Amino acid sequence: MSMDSLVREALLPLVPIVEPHSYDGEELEYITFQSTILPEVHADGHPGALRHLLQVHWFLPRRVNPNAKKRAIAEELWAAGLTYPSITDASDEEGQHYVFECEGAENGDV
Amino acid sequence: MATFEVSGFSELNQALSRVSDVPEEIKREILTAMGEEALAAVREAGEAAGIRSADPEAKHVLDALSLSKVKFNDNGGSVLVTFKGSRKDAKHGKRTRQAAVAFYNEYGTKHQRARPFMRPGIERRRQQIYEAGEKVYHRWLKSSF
Repeated sequence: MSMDSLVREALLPLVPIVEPHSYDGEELEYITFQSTILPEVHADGHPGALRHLLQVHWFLPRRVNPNAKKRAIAEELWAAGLTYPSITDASDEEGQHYVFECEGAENGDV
Repeated sequence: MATFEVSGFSELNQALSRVSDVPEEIKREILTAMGEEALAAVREAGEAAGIRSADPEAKHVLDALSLSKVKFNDNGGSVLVTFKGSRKDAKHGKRTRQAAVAFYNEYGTKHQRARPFMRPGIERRRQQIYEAGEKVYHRWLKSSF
């Protein structure tokens, strides 16, 4: 399963909009995600696995208690086989924004 | 690689205690070497991510990268890669701290997609960062024994 599919499958039950890169729609609560891919290179120069440094961005309105869902998102990422995420609060005057950072691998283990 | 020649337990004990007793100036040099490598890694990743501003008047966030002084505490020591100073926003005329500009780039906002460069930069060159510290350590070890 690709990383995109894995993230979408894990988080769609929690937040109905989960889009790679960006979201331009009207909903106030949504998730976007992106990853930096680092090849784990073997001695022969060919990557044995692709290591994804994943950022998951959860946007939601101000004055909504985020705690239960914040924990649920972290748990779902973990349950999907990614490392347990660190969470950075990047909220500003426009709304709440939490960034979950974790790692995962494609084509083998990291 | 350093080797030890010991003929008894007391000599071994003495050799190991000397290794654990790395002088403060060497610790400082190790951390500085690692910090410089980390700073270079972040700058390189920032350039690659294209976060350099098109505005030639604004001091750019990548040019604000700097290394803090080494600090020691009970857990060892640390050095920080930081973003010094602030810059004037040409659009709003307000000053913004370079650290905040770096944060907006790393994590994005509702209207600006994240362009992470700190974490990927460090992760890409993690091995070289360790090696920069090891190089100083081994040089000291070689000169000490």
